[in-house]
Amino acid sequence: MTLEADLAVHLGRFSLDVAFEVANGEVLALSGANGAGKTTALHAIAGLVPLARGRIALDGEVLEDPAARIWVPPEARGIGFVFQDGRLFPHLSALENVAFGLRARGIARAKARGFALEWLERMGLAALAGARASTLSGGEARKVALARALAIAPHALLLDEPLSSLDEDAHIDVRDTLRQHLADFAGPCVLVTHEPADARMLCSRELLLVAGRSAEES
Amino acid sequence: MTGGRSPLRALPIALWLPTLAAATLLGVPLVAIVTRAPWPTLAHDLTTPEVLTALRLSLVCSVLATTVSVLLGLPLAWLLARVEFAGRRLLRALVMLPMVLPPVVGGVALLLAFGRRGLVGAWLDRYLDIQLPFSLAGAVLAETFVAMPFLVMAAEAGFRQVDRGLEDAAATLGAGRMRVFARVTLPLAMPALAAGAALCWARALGEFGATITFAGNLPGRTQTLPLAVYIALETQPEIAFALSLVLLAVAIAVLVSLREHWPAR
Amino acid sequence: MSGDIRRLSAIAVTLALALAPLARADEPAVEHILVFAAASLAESFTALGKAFESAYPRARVEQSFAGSPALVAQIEAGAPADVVATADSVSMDKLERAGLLEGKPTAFAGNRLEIAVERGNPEGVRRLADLARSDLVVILAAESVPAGRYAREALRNAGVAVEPKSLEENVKSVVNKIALGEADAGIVYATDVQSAGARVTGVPIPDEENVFATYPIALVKRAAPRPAAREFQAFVLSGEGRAILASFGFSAR
Repeated sequence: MTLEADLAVHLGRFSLDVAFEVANGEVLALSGANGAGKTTALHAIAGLVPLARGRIALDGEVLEDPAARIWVPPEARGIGFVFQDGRLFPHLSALENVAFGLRARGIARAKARGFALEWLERMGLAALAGARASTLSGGEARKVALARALAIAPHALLLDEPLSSLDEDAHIDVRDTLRQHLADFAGPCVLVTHEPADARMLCSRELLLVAGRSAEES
Repeated sequence: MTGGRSPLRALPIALWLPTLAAATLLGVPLVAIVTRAPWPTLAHDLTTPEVLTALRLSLVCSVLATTVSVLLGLPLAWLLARVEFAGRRLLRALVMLPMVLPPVVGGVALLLAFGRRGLVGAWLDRYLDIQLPFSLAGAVLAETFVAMPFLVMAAEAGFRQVDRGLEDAAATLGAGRMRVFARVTLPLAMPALAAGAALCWARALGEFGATITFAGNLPGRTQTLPLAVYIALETQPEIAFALSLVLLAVAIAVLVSLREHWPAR
Repeated sequence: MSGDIRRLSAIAVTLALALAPLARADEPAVEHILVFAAASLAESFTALGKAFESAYPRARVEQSFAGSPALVAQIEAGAPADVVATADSVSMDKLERAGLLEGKPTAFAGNRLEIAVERGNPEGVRRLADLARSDLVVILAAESVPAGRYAREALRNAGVAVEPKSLEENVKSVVNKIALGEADAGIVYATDVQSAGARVTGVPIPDEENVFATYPIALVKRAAPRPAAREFQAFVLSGEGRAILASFGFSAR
């Protein structure tokens, strides 16, 4: 599955205009200063922000094309998203969070919980299954968020600053987890980060955004 | 103004004089209800058939009114909280109107709208043989009219403070709009909704002016507790005092249950 | 502390200025009296008040109309009424027994009941027995109110059982709801039907079923005697007063 992203987005005064492709198994780093448009790009690919112009396609299937009046809603795009702050549902437990996407697909409760528990075990967090999401530490929450996004077996994966605001130990720990699971993930990945060290460790390619436009590729 | 003085002593006179006056104004009447209640005969007064009927009727009507308010008010609140549309401010003002309208004026308005000669009421009477005045449904309608705004305002605030990002996250996980609402928005807004429902219920229970004007006063059908107090006051004041004590206790219970969840606006 | 004293003085002065209008300077020129009268006396006593003021320019009459039990409750609670006129002696007796009256009550007018129906009598109500029809929306005054007690007595006299849809707190409320078209019929005073004019139609009740109400008037005991109140009571009992009452449909007591 190749992710083709040709994005032109207008948000108030800010405008984003960038195009790139990500192949299967590739992890593209989107880097740049704050406000450069990295998060906007991810949100556009996920369908949370509409394109003004352009095209998004995943393995040939067009997800969005304003000119052709095509727009697939976020819930139907099959693109997993790990948000910047994790965005776990605070009123649910870690297990229920991970099972959420599975339940949304109509998988029976017991089965969904079973899958979710397996994912938590893979993250080494099985012990926290019953814990309320709001009680998890920063690093634990990021891992659960990753498990939640991966549990739905998405065709592509987007990660928005998955390592921000973590203390040093958690940073290393979560980065290790990420590296392992990103390597296992078969589809295209886009990872937003402003830490060059993280980009080098996790990604195969880097795209630098400056004020909504791409600078150079490396 | 710092150092060893206790906070109260440090207040200037211009502050604690009016404060004392306000507390007295609000507190003394409530204390009077408690002290003047007919404690020796309370159990007897509150279990007469007339009182039990009014109690039961009030409970039924207020719960029904709250239920209707929730069923009609939640979608309205969600609309006000989430959808930008022309006239949204106007709609919100309309919803808030019964909160500031004198209740008896509300009763008059209901008569003009739903009475036998009313705008809608005439039609209901002629084609569906439905008469709302003097009926339990009429009492529920009067209570809903005055109490629903409380629910809508609280629910709107509740929906507003739910993090849209969480709803986005749910969408990326494959949840359609109904699932997002049921599994994310609603549970997170629940404390505010519950507080709104409690206030709505208390307001419905206490409604008087619109009820007596529109629904009338008939024991067992439309004579809710506040009406019973009003009628009893003239000829059996002891019963009125006892019922007032009950209603005061209910009001306190509702407030205690709300505590931190007072709906913000 | 001088800052606090200054502020206190400012508050005191403000309060004094705000409350000053309440302390009326003695005006021997005008005497205000407050009359509490039963709801059914609303129109007639308003006319009596105006006539009294023309006859006695010194006086100003303020009136408050409500169901008789409400008037009694208010006077018992200390309302500053000077004269009270109720629709039955039961209410007046309560005041007398409580020692709240000056002198004895005097009967000043009589009234009788009448059935009130919507203008034009579209439902064809002819007598009390018709009120038992299940297709009619019938309302009465509450039993705590004289009109309500009288109505029930009349129904008993006629041997009719009625299920009212509402028990209104005063008789005017019954008239109004019929006039508005919310109810089909009710039992009110003949004077109410007359006062409502074209808004309602009256159906007379035969004497043998009817109830005759006697209205008493009395002076309320007050700390300072008020001569205008005494004069008002005398005016109501005078020939002129009785003529005004008769014009509204009241009979001699």
